Amino acid sequence: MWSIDHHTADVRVTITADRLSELFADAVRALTQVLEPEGSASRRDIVFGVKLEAADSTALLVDFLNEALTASHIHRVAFTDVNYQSFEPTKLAATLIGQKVRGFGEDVKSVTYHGARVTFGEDGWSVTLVLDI
Amino acid sequence: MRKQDLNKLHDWLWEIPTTYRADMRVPARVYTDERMLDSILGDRSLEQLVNVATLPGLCKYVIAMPDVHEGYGFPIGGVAAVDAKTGVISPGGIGYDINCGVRLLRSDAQLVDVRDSMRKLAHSIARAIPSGVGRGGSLTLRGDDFDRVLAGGAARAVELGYGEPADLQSIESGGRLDAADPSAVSNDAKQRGADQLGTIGSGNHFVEIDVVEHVFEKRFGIEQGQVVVQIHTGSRGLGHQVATDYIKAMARAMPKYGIELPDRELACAPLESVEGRRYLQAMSAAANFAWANRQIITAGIRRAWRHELGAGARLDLLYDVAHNVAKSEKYDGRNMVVHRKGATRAFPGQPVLIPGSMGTASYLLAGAEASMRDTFGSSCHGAGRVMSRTRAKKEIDGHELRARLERMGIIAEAASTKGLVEEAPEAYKDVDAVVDVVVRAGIATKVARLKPVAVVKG
Repeated sequence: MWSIDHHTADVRVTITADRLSELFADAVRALTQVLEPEGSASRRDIVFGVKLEAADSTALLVDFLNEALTASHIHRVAFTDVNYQSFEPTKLAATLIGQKVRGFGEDVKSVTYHGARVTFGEDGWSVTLVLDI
Repeated sequence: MRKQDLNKLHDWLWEIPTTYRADMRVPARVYTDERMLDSILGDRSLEQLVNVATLPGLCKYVIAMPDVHEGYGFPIGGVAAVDAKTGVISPGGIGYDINCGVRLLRSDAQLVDVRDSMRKLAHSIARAIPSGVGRGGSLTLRGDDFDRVLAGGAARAVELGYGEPADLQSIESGGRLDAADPSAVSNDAKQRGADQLGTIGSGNHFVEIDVVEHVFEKRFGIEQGQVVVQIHTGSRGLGHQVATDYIKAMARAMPKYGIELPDRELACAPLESVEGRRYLQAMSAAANFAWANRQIITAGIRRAWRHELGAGARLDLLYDVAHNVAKSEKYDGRNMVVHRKGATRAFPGQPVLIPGSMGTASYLLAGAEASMRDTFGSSCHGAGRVMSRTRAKKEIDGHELRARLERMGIIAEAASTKGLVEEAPEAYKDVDAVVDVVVRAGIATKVARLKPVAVVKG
């Protein structure tokens, strides 16, 4: 589950989930929504493999989303799903699944570390991320 | 932060002392008037400036220009100079759009002579220069050809036939940073930028035809009523990826250098470290890409200009400035690296280009002496955003905006109404007030006020 809030010169996305791996998958879907994919160019699924390790879950999430963003821009793919081969709080191997699109309506430059902190509380896992647009 | 946390040094200069927060290494200065200060205190830009003041190796103080607004890590409109030996380089202090900048072209035409051609001119420019999210251009380079642009900048674009050798004399740093090393730029970054040379992009980037509404000081060959053209864009996806790659690399490297910061987006590494040197090489390559981009766009605009106004119609390059970059410079006899994120170099006598919003005005300034003494040779970079793009889309009617611009005599050629609305005049601060502060502070002097006539946007 996620919500999108636009700030002065950026976009803030708040994501919550029961499981950390779900938080990561929903964050990819939220990023795709912010990108505003335009027109499906193909119904065939496009897949990209990602393997990452980071100092903590926050850095892992930001790095994971930037991998998705880079692939989205280079290959014009809107990612809608994630399959994990392995998932730990600071390490993952996953396949991003998406569809080829004609382009995007919003230019997300990067997912930033600014103020980001993955936390676990009464409502499960949550994080607020700032996207530079 | 409250107003009483700042000490007023002059009517246009305020300072946050190091006593404000224990981890500040230097004070934080804000160029503003009292009215704009109230607005600046409405967002987190000054807290972000205080975070910048915690970086190792800073010189004297960090600075916010009057167009400052909240960013991520560094505020936009921030200046930080570090000692070249003991300081750090922070990619966040340059931003994701490396060498986003402004170029001003000076025509030989008066508005009265070309007003009837203005709609055609705007349309021809829009056709010649791709704009919008991810839009590619007609020039796609790969491999060594692409690397030559990263190494050569605007000069390589001229070698490829885009523009004239004389153009290079009117570009900051001659349109090329020598430190560039294409091997420091990732393949992802090269792929993101592969087809984006000669394109404007989206967001606040534009090509704008202006008329010189008022001349304050006769210099730079500018006359009242003259038509000029502004280009505002940067290093596109290539620069975005370079910043992403190196912020990640530096965030991982900081523990090795014992650096702890209040915001991971400020991630940095010593200038003399491997990570610091590689980033400077990559940043310089991205800056060169941006100068080549603006050079290629210039060639497209000149073609459109000649097509509509005749083969003899001229557009000479007045100047080109970077406002997101780090530069090696010397102040008080000391070698420094100056981070400018949303700030323009303003060396004495140098043209300083300050684009406003599309419905108000822009300024041509000249750098003045106080910039070298007080602001590490830096000035403001624009009007400064005050309204989010979403709020602009909610509150501003696109058709009404187009009609309003038409009534003001401004032609809008926008790929999307959304792109137009996001950059409406009311989304920005008052550019006149911003410029008045830097002029009163002696950082720059006014040369001319430019009024928009036609805007081409993504």
